[in-house]
Amino acid sequence: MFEARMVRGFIIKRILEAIKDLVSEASWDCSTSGMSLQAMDTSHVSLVSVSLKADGFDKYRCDRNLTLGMNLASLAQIVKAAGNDDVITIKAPDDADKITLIFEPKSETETWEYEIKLMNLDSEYLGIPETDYSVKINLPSHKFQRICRDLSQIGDSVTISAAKDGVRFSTTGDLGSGNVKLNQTASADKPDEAVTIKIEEPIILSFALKYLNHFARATALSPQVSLSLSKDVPLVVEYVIHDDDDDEIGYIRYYLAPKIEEGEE
Amino acid sequence: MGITGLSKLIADICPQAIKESEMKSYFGRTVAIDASMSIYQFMIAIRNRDQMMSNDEGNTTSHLVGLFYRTIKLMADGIKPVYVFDGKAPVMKSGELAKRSEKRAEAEAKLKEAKEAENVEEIGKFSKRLVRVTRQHNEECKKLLQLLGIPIICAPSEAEAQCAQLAKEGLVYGVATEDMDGLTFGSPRLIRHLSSGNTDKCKEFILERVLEGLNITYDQFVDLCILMGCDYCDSIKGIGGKKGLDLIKEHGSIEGILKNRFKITEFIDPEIEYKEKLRDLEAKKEENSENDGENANSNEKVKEEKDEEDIKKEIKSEEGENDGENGENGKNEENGEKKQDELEVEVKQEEADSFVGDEDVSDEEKEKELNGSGDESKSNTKVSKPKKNKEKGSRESVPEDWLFKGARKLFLQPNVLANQFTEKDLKFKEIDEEGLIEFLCRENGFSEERVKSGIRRVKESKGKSSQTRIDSFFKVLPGKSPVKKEDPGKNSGKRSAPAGKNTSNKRGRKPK
Repeated sequence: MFEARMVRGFIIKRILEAIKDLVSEASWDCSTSGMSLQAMDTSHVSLVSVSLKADGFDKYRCDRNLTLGMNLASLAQIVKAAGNDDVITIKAPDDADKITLIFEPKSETETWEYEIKLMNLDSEYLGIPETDYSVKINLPSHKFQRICRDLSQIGDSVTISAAKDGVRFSTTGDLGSGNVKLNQTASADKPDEAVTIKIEEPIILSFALKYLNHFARATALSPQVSLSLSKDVPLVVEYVIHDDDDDEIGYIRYYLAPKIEEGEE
Repeated sequence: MGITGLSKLIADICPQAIKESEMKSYFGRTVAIDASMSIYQFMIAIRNRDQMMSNDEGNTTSHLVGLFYRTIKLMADGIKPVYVFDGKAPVMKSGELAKRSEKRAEAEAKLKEAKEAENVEEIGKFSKRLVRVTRQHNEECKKLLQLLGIPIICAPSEAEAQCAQLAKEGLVYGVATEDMDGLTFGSPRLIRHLSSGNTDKCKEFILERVLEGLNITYDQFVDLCILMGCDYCDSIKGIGGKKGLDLIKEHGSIEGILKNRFKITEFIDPEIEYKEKLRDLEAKKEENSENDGENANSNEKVKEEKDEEDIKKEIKSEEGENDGENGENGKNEENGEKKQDELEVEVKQEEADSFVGDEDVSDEEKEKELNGSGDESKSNTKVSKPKKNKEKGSRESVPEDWLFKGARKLFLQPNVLANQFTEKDLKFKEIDEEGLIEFLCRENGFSEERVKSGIRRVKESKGKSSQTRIDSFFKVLPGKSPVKKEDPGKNSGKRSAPAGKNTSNKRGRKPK
């Protein structure tokens, strides 16, 4: 028997919104420690990894490990119908071929129940090695979203260069070029609006904006986003999910393979 | 072509060995493609009415049209193709080649009939069976690929074997082919339906999982393929995939089966010889008859017959009395093959449509194709009658002087260039825009606008190809894939977009 109840149902809604366009089908792995998901997009350029701790749920029970393969786009469609304040419960028997989703609006005595068929997915799990990144940037997630959105008006890829004087996001296209420069903020009174930059080694890396724009759909999940970069490894874009008491209850991490400079051809 | 019924056997017994994925996911991968087979397919599929497409001088251009657009499509998706051309054919393949030639002669006769009767459908159908790839076609394709900057490799013998060798050496990710014997040649991955239209998912056969699923060794797998029917020799009548698999597991090898089941203890171990493929001969002849224009058909026929005689002479010494034996099995195999060919043609047809658009291939044509395959099944039943009788008798008979050992040698130690290529040889070069326009537009009557837009797509794709793959950084963890449930569950789960209906009437609910 598996049962997970989330009073702040919008977290589940937002997670699905943040991944459904990137991966259409994926499996949730449920264990006693929580629910997690890992999947590559169809062209195998990026990877998304979601984790929700058991503590993050208001009620969590998982008798044995389960793999719940599903069509995320369809699931997102259903969950979209839940209200932001709804309590969402996910249930599945041990030998499940479908799961039950229950939405309970807070103020009313009503329940909405959906059964969703599961799929058997032949998913590949990638081992992600522990990496010490040379550069780690924390910035407000809405700012990141805007940078990606605005730069993609100009070009297809963004070059992120980090050096002592700050971080530069730049792009060029047929139209011209765009350049955004961020410096570390001084004030500590608004943590959500802070920009912090840790640089051990300067780097210059290029990434496809198309994918970054996909990642930015997770903006609603967290006020801050962190970007971790090292030479010749994928970029990590992480949104940490917090509960009301500001305790960490999970994360959504995106990995994006870099673009390599011409001349390799 | 290929191994009779192998893909079905794999799908039945170990579906987990087949991975379905979108063409997009092969992004950034280098794949080996058997050029000779592709050219043949293009010449069948890409047609205007029932004629192959041709330039002002009346030379065929179907192969160039197909190759150009197919390659562009692959590159636009970030896939890097490496084309491998056939070299000399093993002499043991003469049997198979002779069969094909017979088939061709038959089609020729029928085409004549159809022409007399002015049966348009039939004309289309049979003229397709007369398609022949000549050396000139090959050379033109090589030229086109070189202009596109795409690496080509000339195999010493079978292209399929060379493709497999490249895959084994890790120079290419896999072999893209419809021909299942790529697996028999030991290619770790064989990708079917790559570029066969947008809607189809690619099917990737993974050799390791096939062996695991069938629970046999690679050597046994090769024996199984020979039992099922390959291009190089006959097979035992009455033994197909499943029975073959059981017998291989029981007796370990073909020798074991022959000893224990048929009390045969002497095996012929033929020398492997190679000879130039027929089309070299032909190419010369064609050059002679090239200018004959209207009369070409009758000339071709004469040629055809000559060729047939040629092969017959050549194989006489090999097959000897075996000829009679050929009948049954040969036909069955051929039928399977024909069917497959037809299917492929249909797929290709769609592709051709999308490539060349309204101008070149009409719907009418497609319909014809369908009719064609309908006829095919009719003729199938005809041939399969005697087979039924056979089954009643349930007699298995081993071909006399069975050359299975030769076939095995061809699969296990094929004539290939091993460890001779490096990644450098498979590098992509700059596209020669001027040269392409000269070659395609001036010499072969392509529309300049289309060629240019094609070139543009390739150039754009070059930018794309500098994108790396995430799975080249993170290694796939072994064995964590979920346990397969029963098939019906899988199917129902996959097909029905589960939620759609449920939501549609409730989605409008306003959040409180």
